[in-house]
Amino acid sequence: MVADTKTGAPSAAGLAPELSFVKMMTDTDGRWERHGDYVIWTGNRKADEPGYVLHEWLDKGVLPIPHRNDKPILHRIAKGTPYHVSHLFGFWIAHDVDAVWLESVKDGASYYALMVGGSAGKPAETVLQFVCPKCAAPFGRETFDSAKKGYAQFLDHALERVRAFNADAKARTCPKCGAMHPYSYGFYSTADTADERTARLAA
Amino acid sequence: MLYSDVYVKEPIDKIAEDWDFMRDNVISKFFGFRPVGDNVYGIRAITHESQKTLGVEKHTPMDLAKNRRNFEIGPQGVVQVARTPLTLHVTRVGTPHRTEFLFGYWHINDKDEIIIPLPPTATQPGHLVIVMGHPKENETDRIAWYCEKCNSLVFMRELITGTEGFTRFFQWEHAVVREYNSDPRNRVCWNCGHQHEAGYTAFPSRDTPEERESRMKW
Repeated sequence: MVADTKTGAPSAAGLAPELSFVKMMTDTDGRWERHGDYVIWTGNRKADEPGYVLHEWLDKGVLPIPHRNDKPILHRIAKGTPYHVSHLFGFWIAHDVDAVWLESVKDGASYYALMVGGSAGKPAETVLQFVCPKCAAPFGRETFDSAKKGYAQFLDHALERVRAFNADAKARTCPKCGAMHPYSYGFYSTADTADERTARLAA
Repeated sequence: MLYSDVYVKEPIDKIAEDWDFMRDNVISKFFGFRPVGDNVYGIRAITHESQKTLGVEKHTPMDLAKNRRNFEIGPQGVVQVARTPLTLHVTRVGTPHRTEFLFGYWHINDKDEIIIPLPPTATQPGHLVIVMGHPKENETDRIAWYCEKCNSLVFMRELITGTEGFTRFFQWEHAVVREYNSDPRNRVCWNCGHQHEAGYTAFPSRDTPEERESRMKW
């Protein structure tokens, strides 16, 4: 006997295990979800909106991952590699586990998924930092215990960091070259202040 | 762009090997399953209209049929689950799951498995991307057959992929399917006596006549 479902398989009421779940790249709320072995974000951009651009920080500088090709892109972000997604979050993060970036284009719109995980109990630590746009020096590094505090707390904490960063010109000054970092922005555009909104659009 | 002053000067291909698993010169590495870092990846092209041409026409080895269905087993029995383009379907650890015409058994792993159908483009067919955690230590993969009448477990084998390595999976899969098919008694339900179809591997070009007949049915 086969039941039909358009989403994940339902589990029986009570103590039965969850069989599966779904997360849609067509969703417009852009929420992160920690569920099972992965932290997952999905989102999309219309053809007339600037696409999200994944950047990785390397010793040699900043590497933008090509985007908006007519073919999908499946890219592994190796654990420990600082990365930033312009227009999505205005700082750099690194995990103690790999992440996977997927972009697919359909009818001119871009659809994205970011999947962080693959190893039990991880991401357990998430590093948040900023990178100077003039000399590529990382600064303001902080490690968050996402195993103990939870990934949802990290998202809230990141916004607190952004607000403190934006409010303190000294914190935004590159310790290596003295350039002033522009205003930053958090994970969710719905929480943006006017300055954060401007920074997100300009990224 | 904010960081354009500090972009790496060299082309990405010179810095990051295999930076895009779906590029034309890389994708064939993922037609089976390939462990890379913390995850195991697989990419399948959706090129067949139905199961009838699987293993007959020249395609890549594990191409999918558009008319395939996908199933999971839970406490309420077998459930058909959708594969919607641009939707991540995450099969949780321990859930028996199966894709019709692709592999004729139930796969059970100790890691979550993310399955993402991608739509066709102007120059490419649709694809299915699979991402699952790389098994470690005593974590396993299992191949099983359940009774289609009463859902009882009929036959099962286990590989400790955490220590044996996931690269052994398909060699082991082939051996398990052949073992199951080798004796009709393996395919009789201990609970209700129902006789089951033969199993088949993920490689239609290797099918015996009995396996091919079975692939066309379930």
